[in-house]
Amino acid sequence: MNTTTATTQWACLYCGFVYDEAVGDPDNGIPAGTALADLPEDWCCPSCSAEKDSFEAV
Amino acid sequence: MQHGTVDFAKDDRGVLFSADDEANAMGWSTLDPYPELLRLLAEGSVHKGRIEDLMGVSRQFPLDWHTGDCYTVVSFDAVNKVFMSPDTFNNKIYDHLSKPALGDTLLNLDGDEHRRTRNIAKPWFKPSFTDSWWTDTWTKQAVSELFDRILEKDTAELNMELCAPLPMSVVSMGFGLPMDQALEFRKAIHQVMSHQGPEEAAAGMATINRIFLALMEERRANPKDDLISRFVHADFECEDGSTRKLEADEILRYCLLIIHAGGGTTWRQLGITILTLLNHPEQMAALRADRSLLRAAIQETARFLPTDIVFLRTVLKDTEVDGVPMKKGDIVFLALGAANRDPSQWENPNEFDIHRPMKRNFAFGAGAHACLGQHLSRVEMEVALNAVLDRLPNLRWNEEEPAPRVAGGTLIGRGVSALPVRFDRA
Repeated sequence: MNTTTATTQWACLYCGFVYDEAVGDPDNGIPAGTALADLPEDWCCPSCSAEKDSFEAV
Repeated sequence: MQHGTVDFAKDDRGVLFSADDEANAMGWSTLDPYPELLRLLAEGSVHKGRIEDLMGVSRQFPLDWHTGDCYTVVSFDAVNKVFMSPDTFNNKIYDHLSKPALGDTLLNLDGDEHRRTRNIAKPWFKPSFTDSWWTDTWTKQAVSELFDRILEKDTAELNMELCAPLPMSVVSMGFGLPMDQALEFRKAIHQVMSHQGPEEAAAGMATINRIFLALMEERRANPKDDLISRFVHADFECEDGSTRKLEADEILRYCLLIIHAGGGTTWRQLGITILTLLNHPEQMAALRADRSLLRAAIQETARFLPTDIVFLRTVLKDTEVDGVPMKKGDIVFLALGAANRDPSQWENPNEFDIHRPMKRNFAFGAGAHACLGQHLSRVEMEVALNAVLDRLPNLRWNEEEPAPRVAGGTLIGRGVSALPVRFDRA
């Protein structure tokens, strides 16, 4: 996983869903401004359910 | 809980599990697609026309009814844009490609209806479930059984002795299909799906109904730890937010799609993975020594040689891709085989290299319609490849057999001709 500090958008390796830290994942209780690294360990891709370590920097 | 695997040395596979037989029966071109795909990629990101015409191969998608324009999208960014823009490009085209055989399924549904339908089975195919339930309950046992057979000799044809029976056995057991009916059921799905005419389709559906409806009734009364029981007792979210149980016909169509896809795609991709690794012995040795490369090796093979190299979409409203205008109702061919070789995304994209950094590709699609079973497919391949690396010392081609190759259709249904191998007995 790329951890470049400037990155705020991350794409799922398996379905391309983009997690935008500025938006969060409100449908799953993740507020705007939540960094990928700060997501709960059991958070997964809302589209394909891949785990959060399956995201690459956009 | 049942265990068991199909044994093609004893069980008649019929026309199943031969990529070339299937392509020939369907009238598909079998030319190597990559010279033409790379030419198109070099000439632009979006081309007007059907992919078959642009590549100079026989038409294989039944689109005679279509009167609008067609476009073929080949670059990574353009393919990604289409995949990730469901409000502009949807799966309506599958009303013509899959609905006649299967009715409404995840393939042809879109939007909220697709989301609600997909949500039924989504928990059963997420990584945490595939890593535990599917792997521990079914896949490890199936691989162990298959290798017990393979190791009775010092040669094997791994396409028929591992790659074909593994996913078919796993998905059948996972669903709760009795193993002695699994092959009959799989053949019946092929009859329904292979456009051989209404009589064949009706005969296949009669077999499916006989086997599956009885199982559903039984599981309604006596649920077991299998997917048929989960489907029968699942709550489907209706449009108004209420929930209901699925009708028998809805469950049947859903399950047919998963069993068909789950038995076929993993068979093909696992075979291609073993073939490609055996043709790159230095990379196979690196993988044998460092299993942390396993996920990357599977990802790289799927990029390099995906089983299906084209998906289709319908243009939902007037738009443009890379400056090429498209009108509502036009059809778009997504040449993911080309996009997966885009030099803007990968260094030396026409080289196979398991040491590349993990990066997304389109082998399992992308967006809302990305393959539901892709995580299961990957862990099945991981368990199988670990066994190949652990249990077949000095694995090499059996030079007495014809040289294996990637076979099947030019555009879809690509697999291996065979995997004849020799190994040292422990």
